[in-house]
Amino acid sequence: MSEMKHLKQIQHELMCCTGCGYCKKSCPTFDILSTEADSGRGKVFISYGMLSGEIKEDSSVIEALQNCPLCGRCEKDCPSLVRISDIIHAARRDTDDILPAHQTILDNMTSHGNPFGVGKKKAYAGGGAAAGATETVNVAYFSGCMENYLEHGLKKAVISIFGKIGMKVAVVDKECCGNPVDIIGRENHQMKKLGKELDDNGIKKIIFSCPSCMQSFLPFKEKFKLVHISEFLEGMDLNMKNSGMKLIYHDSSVLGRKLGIYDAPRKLLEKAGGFVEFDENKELSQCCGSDIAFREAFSGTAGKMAERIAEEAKEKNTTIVTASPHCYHHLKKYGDVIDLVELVDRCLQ
Amino acid sequence: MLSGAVLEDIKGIVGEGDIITSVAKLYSYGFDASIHHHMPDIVIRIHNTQEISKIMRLANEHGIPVIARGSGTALSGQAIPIKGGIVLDMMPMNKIKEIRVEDLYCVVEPGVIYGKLNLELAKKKFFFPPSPGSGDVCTVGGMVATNASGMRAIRYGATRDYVLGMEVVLSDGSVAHFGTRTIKNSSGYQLEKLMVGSEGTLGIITEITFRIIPLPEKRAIAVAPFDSLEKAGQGVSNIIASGLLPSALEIMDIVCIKAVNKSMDIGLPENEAIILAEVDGEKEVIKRKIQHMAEICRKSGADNVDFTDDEEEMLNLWRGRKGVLPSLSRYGEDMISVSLADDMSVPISKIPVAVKKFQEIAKKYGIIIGTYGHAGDGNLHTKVLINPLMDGSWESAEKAVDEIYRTVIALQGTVSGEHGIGISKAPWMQIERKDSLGVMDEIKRAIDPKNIMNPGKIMQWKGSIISYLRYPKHE
Repeated sequence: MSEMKHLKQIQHELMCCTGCGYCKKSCPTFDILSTEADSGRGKVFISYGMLSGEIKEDSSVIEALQNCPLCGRCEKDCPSLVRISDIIHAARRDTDDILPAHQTILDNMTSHGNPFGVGKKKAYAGGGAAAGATETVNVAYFSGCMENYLEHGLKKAVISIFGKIGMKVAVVDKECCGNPVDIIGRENHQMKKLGKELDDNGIKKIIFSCPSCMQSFLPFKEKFKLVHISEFLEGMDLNMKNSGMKLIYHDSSVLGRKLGIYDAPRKLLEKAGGFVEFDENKELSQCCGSDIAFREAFSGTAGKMAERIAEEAKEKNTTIVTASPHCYHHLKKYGDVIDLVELVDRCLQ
Repeated sequence: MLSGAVLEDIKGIVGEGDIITSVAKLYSYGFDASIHHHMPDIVIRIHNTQEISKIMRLANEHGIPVIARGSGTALSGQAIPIKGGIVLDMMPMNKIKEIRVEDLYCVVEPGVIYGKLNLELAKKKFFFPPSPGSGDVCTVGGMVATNASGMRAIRYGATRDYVLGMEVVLSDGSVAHFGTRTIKNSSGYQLEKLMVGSEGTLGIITEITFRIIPLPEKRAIAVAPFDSLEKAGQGVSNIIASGLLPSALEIMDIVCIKAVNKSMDIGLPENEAIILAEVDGEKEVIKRKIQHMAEICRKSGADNVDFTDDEEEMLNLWRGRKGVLPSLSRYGEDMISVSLADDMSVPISKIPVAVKKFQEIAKKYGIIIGTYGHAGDGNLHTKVLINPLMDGSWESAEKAVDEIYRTVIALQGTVSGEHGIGISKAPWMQIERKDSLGVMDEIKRAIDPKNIMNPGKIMQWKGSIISYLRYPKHE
């Protein structure tokens, strides 16, 4: 039986929600499912019910708390600045039980070291321990599970870019950052191990192509300089040719709202010949539902979120550019997509 | 708790997919934007009048309470099912059926979001003016049920002024059509108006015909800072007395200004009080009107009166004003904003007296009261800030609220200008309208003899309002 220790820590935040309901305005989950429990406010109320003991944990409580990609869109409409994602996350941490789809993710992490249950043999190990490096380097490229197991092309593109610009990096691709475990609300033991390993190897700066991996490293931001690949490349003064494509840039919720990186991908796209914006963009961008824990448990809703984005891109006769392997992997089932690293690799002179 | 047989009957009417009985979902439907909470026994996601009619027949037969709910943004507990029973989630009934600008009306279902209706009307250069603060998320059905309005009421009136007709399901399941689709109507009792503000206690509104009007060509806003709330109040009176009819005339005190600047980064001048005054109309006259308005503010003691007709700047200012209520939650470290004494209205000239008295009351009870509102029509909002976990804080708040409302009543005002009564204002509405209570009871009994329509609210509420509390102080 949970002691609600995480919700107790965030009790004042819970109280600050006036219940005004403004969070419903642009919440993608509420827009699709439209019951009170699907809104940010509804999940805050349920969290309060758990903390006060008015409701006991059951499958409906767990489902309501997990049925949210934690994209943070609702927080941009909240005039009380309530950290809704943090409240939902705290409530998830205070539940004892877990959804079957999430149990599978945890089991895969234990048995295979990645959330997909893919054998290590299937991992793409291109690039070697230090791509193009013959000497010890203190810059690492952290290649996440998405790039290692499901989207090899993105990892290849990153390694290729490093080769083209003559950048020597250590490629770290053996362990998952554990982000899905944390999102589900379980203890992420991966990061402690990873942080120590990188520190022991003299790494000072880590470059990420996956925003979720970068988010997992935030507790180590004093120890390592954390850089998303878009920021890194944008600072390189690259000579790029025009892509010849009509592009539209999709802000990943994690890269944008959680990490605050909006400009770097856009500046790179300008160098590749320009792009157009979604009607809702930057901090108001719509989530595509690509978070692993969310899309595995709620594939129907996650699919509808992606469909909407793909639809707008199609209406504007554009190819979607993602800057997150999660968004790339999910959106490509619904529309024409290219990831920023593929685009840069293609356009680098 | 509903019996298994009733549950089966409900399933037979709406199908299993539209019934909500899980703990988490029922719990979340037990809230609105008020301080109150109570879980329903069942929530039904309703799609049409026929379903509602059958549900009402069933509920009437078994004496089950029925509460209609839109977006759940009511501030006084109107949507809280304090006696359990059936909550009808009206959100799926969200069709805009007709927009007829040539006849100056539109026909809509109750679950249409106010902001979305106005987006559609704007395409034809028309609008539905009441403009409640929650307009981006609230439903038009909820607006009718509470006679909602907002900052433009001074010029354009409240929801009641735009209701031409409606379809209503009564407690016995019969379907009635009240009102007309004409602009004028002197045809017998205007029952459609009786339904406005009845908060779901007389029937379930299933279709509404609203009057619509042309959008003004242009708007402009003046921002006038004052060194006292009283002077700002006097400024409001002076503007009204000048014969100028602003399209909005808002007042905010320093507590509200700071809260908004802190949480929303609006950059309002941090004086003791400000007036936001909007004028609208033809392009040619706007400049002259706003300058006249600024001049009156200066003569009333305002410094540095600023004005703008830039759409983005105006949107930002109104965003700040609409954000006052929830922003107050961030005023202090342990304090939160609770929805108490939130929308009283006084005769416009009494505003300076009222706001001064409110501040004295706040001081007396050691609480913080933020004062803001649609001062141009005498409608003031106060917001009580308390530490909900501190012993005695709720008791102090209730005493302060009692004094505030008694002050308002003594000034010949009303306890609710636009949010409605529900639970949180019921005891004082019963004082204010003591001569009407008997008639209200008779009407209720005649239309809903089994008292199943949102029971226990308005004139039926008894006792302290610190009840069915959603905060930690539980009964």
